[in-house]
Amino acid sequence: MTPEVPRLQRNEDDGAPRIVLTGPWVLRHLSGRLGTLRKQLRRCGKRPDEVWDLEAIESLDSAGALLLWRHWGQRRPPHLRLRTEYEPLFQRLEQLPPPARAPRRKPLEWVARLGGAILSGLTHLRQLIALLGQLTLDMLSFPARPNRIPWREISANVHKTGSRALLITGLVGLLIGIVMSYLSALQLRMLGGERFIVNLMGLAVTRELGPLLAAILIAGRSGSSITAELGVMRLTQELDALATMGISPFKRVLLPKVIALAITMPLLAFWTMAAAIFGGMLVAQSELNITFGQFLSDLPGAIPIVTYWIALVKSIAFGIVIGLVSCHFGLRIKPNTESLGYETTNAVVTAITLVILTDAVFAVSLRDIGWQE
Amino acid sequence: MSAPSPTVIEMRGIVTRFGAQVVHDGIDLSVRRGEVLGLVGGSGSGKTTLLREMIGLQTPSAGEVHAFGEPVFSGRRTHHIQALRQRWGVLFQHGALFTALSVADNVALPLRELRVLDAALIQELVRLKLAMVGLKPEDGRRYPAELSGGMIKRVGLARALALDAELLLLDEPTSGLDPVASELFVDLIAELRSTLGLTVALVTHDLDTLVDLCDRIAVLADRKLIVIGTLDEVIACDHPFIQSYFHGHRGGRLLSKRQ
Repeated sequence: MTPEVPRLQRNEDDGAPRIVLTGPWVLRHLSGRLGTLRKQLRRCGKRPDEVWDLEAIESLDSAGALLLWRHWGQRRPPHLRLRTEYEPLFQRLEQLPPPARAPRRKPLEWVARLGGAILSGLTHLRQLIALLGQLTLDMLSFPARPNRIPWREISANVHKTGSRALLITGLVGLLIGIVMSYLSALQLRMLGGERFIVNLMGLAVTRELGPLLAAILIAGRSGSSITAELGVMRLTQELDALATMGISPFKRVLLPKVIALAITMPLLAFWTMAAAIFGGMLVAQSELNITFGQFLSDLPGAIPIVTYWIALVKSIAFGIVIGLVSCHFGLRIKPNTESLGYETTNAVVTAITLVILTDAVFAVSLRDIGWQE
Repeated sequence: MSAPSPTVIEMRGIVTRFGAQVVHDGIDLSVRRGEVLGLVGGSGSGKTTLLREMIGLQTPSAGEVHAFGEPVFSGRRTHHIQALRQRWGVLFQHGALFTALSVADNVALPLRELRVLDAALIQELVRLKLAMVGLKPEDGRRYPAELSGGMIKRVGLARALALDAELLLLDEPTSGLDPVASELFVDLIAELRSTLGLTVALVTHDLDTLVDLCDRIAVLADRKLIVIGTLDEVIACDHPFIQSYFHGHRGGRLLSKRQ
């Protein structure tokens, strides 16, 4: 008994050559012997009077039929012996429509692509401004109807974006504080100005590092989760369901997230500052012999009060930027898995970039404020 | 080839538990070669779970499953599944198309995964499979998000047929389709089955599909397989679930039309 593999034999004994196919001509058995069969096939089909005998075949599926069909040049050979049960397979191949033509590439495609990128950037900007406007209008409608303010959602979002982020922001703040003051301590000791560690750390951390660090962490942590959450809500038509019940998704879903971020961002910024200054104090004590008491008594004098106001306003702005950007990208998610990942990445990258851009605007416009004589 | 076994799927003593909840309590079921078997039962009676257990997507708490004479759950589990998966194709309830891939790539994926076929052959096979389920070559470039429910099912079927499977498992093939589309889909499966000699096991809620397509019907209720047989045999059973299912308002109307 021959093993069960597709085989092909060419007999030329009695006049017209006969090509006899045996065995299972199905994908499962063909896949292992494709190379050999192709080689054998190439030797056949050179003469028009050849007889193709498929009657002894054990089984035939569309892959096997297609392999022969392609060899025959997309038509039946003049002498084909075929069992009737396989007739439909070849009929289907005969009726196969021609392949769809690939769309032609246009000349100067890169110009069109560049233009498309610029236009899409402008669309993003327009949509962001429209979203900000919509949310502002929604905010303005609250004083007239205070019972419609979504307190529960705001509070839930404050917990999600704020309390749950305390550990990570605290840890990062502490480590950055330690690193910064350690490096500055080495320089300050050379210059003999050890006590200035308080001024240096205090100002850098409160004016720039604290708010910026917290904002970048939150953009990555909460921004991505907001985008993904909104995207999935859109895919599962939850936002549509809300709208049909007369509940504005802007007021009930988007606005609470932006408001919550505007509340939690300054709180997290001050928490990060405290952690960083604590890190600085640890290093000041071990490296420069400045006690906690000395450090803390010098600190109020080193930081003018207006610095805190700047940090507060900046952080609120960062929170709103992160909220708006992640909501904007969440609403753009299309119903496929790739888009979810793509827009989430976009949201985080854009949020961090805009946070740093906003910070630069603040730094330049407030450059004359808050320095001690 | 060894003499083809008369049964394609053999399930013995299947018990399925989710925590404290028992879904199947000792189910014996076999799918014979060349037949169309319909699984029916109320919501939550574990029809889809049973279908998933047939192909090793889910492990039953107790019992044995054999597919093509080989155990689906055994020590060398992954190896077996790899060899067996070429012999069955599955159409999931919601299509389960890969949304990031175009229609043509969805159908081509199992073919490419074999790693022996060249690109031209794959392309042509894809075109053939799409034509089989009544889709145009241009549809191959579209993405699942752009398709209607009926087209998603067709693409899912084309993908299930990509490897020329001997066994086709369909989870609610006509749910979510309008009556015309669902009738066309049933005709399509009947035609493919007669030309390709497929064995089909399907889960359905749709009485029309059952009457038009199935050779045998298995009814799940009260955690048991209460009856399996031809439509007439099933109707003759006097279990209360069958009474309400087939002799209710809609079922009765359909059956009287048939006579």
